[in-house]
Formats: sequence, structure tokens, C-alpha cells
Amino acid sequence: MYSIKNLQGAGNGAASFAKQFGIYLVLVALLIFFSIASENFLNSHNLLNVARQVSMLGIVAVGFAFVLLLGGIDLSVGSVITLVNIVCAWLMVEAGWNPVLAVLAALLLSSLIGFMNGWIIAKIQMPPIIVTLAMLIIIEGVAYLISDGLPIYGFPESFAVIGQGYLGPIPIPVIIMGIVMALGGFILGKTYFGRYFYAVGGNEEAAKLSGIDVNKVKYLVYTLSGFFAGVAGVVILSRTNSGQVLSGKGFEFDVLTACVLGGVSVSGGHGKISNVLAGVLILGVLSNGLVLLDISQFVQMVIKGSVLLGAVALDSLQQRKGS
Amino acid sequence: MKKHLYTLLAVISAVAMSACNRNSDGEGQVKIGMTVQDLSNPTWSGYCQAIQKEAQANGAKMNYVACDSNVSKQIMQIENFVARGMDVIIVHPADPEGIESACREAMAAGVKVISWDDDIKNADVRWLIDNKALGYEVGKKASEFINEKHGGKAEVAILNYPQLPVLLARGNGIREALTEHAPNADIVAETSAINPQEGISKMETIFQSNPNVKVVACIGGGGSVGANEAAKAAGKLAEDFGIFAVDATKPELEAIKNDEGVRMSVIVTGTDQDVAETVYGFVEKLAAGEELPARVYRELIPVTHENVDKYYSK
Repeated sequence: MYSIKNLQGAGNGAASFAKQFGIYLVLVALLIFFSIASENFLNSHNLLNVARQVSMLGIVAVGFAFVLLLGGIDLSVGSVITLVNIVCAWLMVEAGWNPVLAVLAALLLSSLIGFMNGWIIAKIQMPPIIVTLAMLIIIEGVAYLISDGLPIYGFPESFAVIGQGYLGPIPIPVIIMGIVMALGGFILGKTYFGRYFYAVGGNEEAAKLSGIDVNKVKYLVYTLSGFFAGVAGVVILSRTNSGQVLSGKGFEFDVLTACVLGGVSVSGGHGKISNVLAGVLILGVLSNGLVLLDISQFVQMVIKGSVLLGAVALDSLQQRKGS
Repeated sequence: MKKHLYTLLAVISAVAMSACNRNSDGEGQVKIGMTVQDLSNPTWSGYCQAIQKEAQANGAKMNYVACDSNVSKQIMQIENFVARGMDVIIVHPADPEGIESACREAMAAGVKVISWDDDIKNADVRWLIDNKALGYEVGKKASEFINEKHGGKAEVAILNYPQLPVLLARGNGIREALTEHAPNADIVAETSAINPQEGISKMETIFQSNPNVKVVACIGGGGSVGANEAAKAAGKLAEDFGIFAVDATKPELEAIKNDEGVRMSVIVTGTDQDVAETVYGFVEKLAAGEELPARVYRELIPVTHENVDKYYSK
């Protein structure tokens, strides 16, 4: 709270700086804090560790941020991860498919689920929260049906590379996250349909009147959300080397937290991928740092919830000031 | 603008420094990290608290977390424990196959790994339950009761759960002991029941078809508690009626103490304190660089009316 007052007092320049980069200040502050507080935090091995741990979250967060920009929500991402996990594992182990084919099929499936979400939301005009909640339940049921609730394992060894491998010192999942984030940033910043996301999220009516095919934008955004959740599902599967019905459980809330921390407005229209990355990193640094400080898991839950509340409060205060 | 940024960072670091002493660990202090499937389960929160207390009493430091049965979360927890510089990690695997690589990396980093309940490849010690022996103990005690109260001849029902491999082994152990120690007993019903609801309804059905069932052997505490309730409701409680089971849950112990249907339930290792002492024993030895057997099987203790007070507390 000191930081807001301090910066606001410093005039408009600092306030707009804080608005744009406030989230990075929080991240830097956390990094400094943990570096001082724990001797095990600031070393390349641990920092790469954190990056690898958040990479799945980061991959999903890109698609999720698109959906939030549109003023929607996609609660089904966690169960899409689960289903991709199970289907991809099943195809490799039970059906004996080549890993590459199994991964492609699983990604196609996850994109299709995303498309279905978008189609129902746009065509039948149902609230996204209901559609994707229903989808979450359906998909979870299907995952249980395929696996009977039992883990599926025994993949070809080469498959482990995606989740456990390294390129030089950098873990492969981190590289995948980097590519997905760059792609997300490119779509939002450099393509015309990226700008449509903001337009539709800011004011759907106005976007429609200006000639944007709002339905198509929705199909695309939800399909992308499904696709990125699928990519994360494959990475998780490879990292755990075992297909599990609980693999994506509750993931949607972590992603939502990361996106909101990263300043993506839940009411649509505002947000940047670079800040989402900061949100993702904050969650990862907190999870890692609090363990390094031997802080009990229950206290960790309280701290994480408070950080989310604080970040949203900060965002709301700034929005009000700005308007 | 930049000046303000620096001021801010300076203030935050000052706060950080004053708010938190750098967690420097005492010289030679043993640091333990434990990850379990679920801390909302009273059994596990009880174990974790007892082990933490035991560790503190011995000057060690212990932190525990739950992965909510999610293996990716558990992998992350193991990695963070390694980064924290833990000496020993205790894992109750969410999925034994899934955590192998994380445990391998932990061992490669010089951390000792204790696997709880699962025979995983990458661990220094695996603390295991011999489920067949556990079932055998139940069957043996049931046979003794049959021989004593019924002269070796009685109708027996088994509440099993073959859907899970470990429980299938328990069920087989029960059957094997009964055929060995009470060869004239008649197993008239064998059906699955994992929780009290199933235990009640299955037992009611069994009493309908076989009203003379005198002995019930169960693979778990859920089934036995249900069977006890069903027997009470059906007016079957008598000196020669007995339920034999595993887990020694509170309701079972209460039934044993009050001389209801449950006559015996096997407790594995003992009270939370017994568990804590055993586990901390492993930790101490591993941290001191001692070798332990790759597999240690847990002690099975039958709890009956005679020794129930040791394990039962309101």
C-alpha cells in the first residue's frame, strides 16, 4: 500500500508507470524479498526450476487471457488438460500410436472442445461461465470413462523429452512457454484479429456495428484457449510420465489468478501478454519461495489469496482513478 | 520517476530484511520435507503433525504439504524441497509411476527419499504394508473366534473390495487364513463394501439371505462400521457374533470398547506417535548416512477389547 501512495504522490508520470509496470515491480520486490530471506532462492538452478514449474500455467494463461479479453471465461481448461492427458496416454499405450500422432490427435481434440465452447456461447448465446462449467463436468466424466480412474503409463521413452528434457540449460517446457507467449503477444499486438479481441471485449455492440464478425472472433478465441490447454496437457503428461484423471483439476483457478494478477480485466477489453507472464511468474515465485522459507501450506494459501485480492484491488483503484 | 522506483525498491527490501530473518539453518540440523496426498484426511494430518512434533523434539526441522492427489503438484513440491536443501524427503505418492523422475532427481542431488506405502524404484527406503499378511491376520482372528465360540463351525460373510489390487490381496489373505485355521467354517457370502453406507446395505442383504451369519470379516474399517450398524439394527448383537476388520478407525474402536459387534481391528504400526517415532527413526538413520533395508514392512497390531484403551481416546 505504501507503494501506491508513494507513486501517486509523485504525479501522473509515475502513476501511469506504475499502472503499466506495477506488476513487474511486485515481481521484482518478491524476487528481492526471497533472495534476502532464503539462501536457496537466488541460484540459476532454482530459478530455472521455478520457470519450469510455471511453464504449463503460462501456456494455458495465453489462451485464457484471450478469453478474458473478450469478456468471457473458460472454466473447462483444467478438464481439457485432464482429457488430453488421458486420451494421449491411451492412444500411446492402449492403441499403440506413435507419440507424434497421439499428440497431434490430442491437440486436435482439445481445439475441437474449445471450438464447441465458442460455438455454443456465440450461437446459442449462453453465458460462458455456464457453458464451460458444463463442459468441465462432461469432459471430466469422459476422462473417467476412458481411464476408469486408473493411471495410464508405460510411454515410449522419447515422449519424456517434451516435459523433462533440456535444450542447453533451459528446460523444454520453458521454451514451449516462451514460444506460446511470443505467439500470444504477436497475435494481440500485430494482427488485426488480435485487435478484434480488444474491440469485442471492450464493446461487443460497437464491434458488431463496425463490421467485425463477432461470432467468428469467439470461435477463434475459445478454440485457441482449448488448443493451448491441450499443449499444456501434453507437457504435463510428459512431465509426469503417467496419464491421470486428476492432472488438470483446479487448474482453471490458478490460470484465472495468474491472468488477473497480470492485469487482464475480468470484464474484458484490457490486458497484455507481457503482464500475464509477470502474473504467472509471481505465482511461481510465491509457491517456490514460501516453501524455501518453510512456511506451512495453510499459511501459503492465505498469502496467495491475499496477493490476488491485493492485485485486483490495486487494479480497481487505478481503473477508478483513470476514469 | 526512476528515483521513486528506487525508493520503492529500497523500502521493500528494508521491510523484507527487517520482517524476516534469513532462514539460516542450524549447523547440522536435519531438514525434512514431507508431501502427502491429502491433508483434509484426518489420518494424514494426524501423522504429519505427529512427525513434525517428533522432529522438533529432536532438534530437526520438518515442513509438510499436500498435493491433493495431483501428481504434477507433487512433483513440484519435491523439486521445491530439493531446492530448499532438505536432507530427507518423505513421499506418500499420488501416483507412484508419475513421481519416479522427480525422486530420481532428488536422490541424484543427494537427498534421501522415503516412500510411504508404495514400492517405487527411486527411494532409499520403502515403508510398506503387506496387504496379504494384513488380511491373513483378520482371517486368523476370525478363525480363533469361530473355534472358541462355535466349535469351529459357523456361517461367515466376507466384505471385500477386489476393485483395488491392494484390497484384493487383503481379501485373499482373509480367505486363506479362514480355510487354514477354521476349515469347517462356511463362507456363505462374499461381496464388496468400501464405506459405511455400502457396509450397511450389503450386510442387510446378507442378513436377509443368511440370517445365521455369525462372523463378518472385512478388508477395511468402512465396511466393518456399516456391518456393525446393520447388526445392531437387525438385533444380531450377541456374545457369539463378531466382526473382524482392519484400520482401527475411531468408530471401530468405540464399538470394540462398548462390546458391540466389532471384536478386533488391526492397526498398522500403532498410534500417530508410534508412526512418528518409526518414521523419524528412518530419517535419523538416513541423515546419518546409515544404510536401511530397501523395504520395511509395517507392524500389524490387532486391537481387541483387551488393549483398546491404548489406541482409543475420545
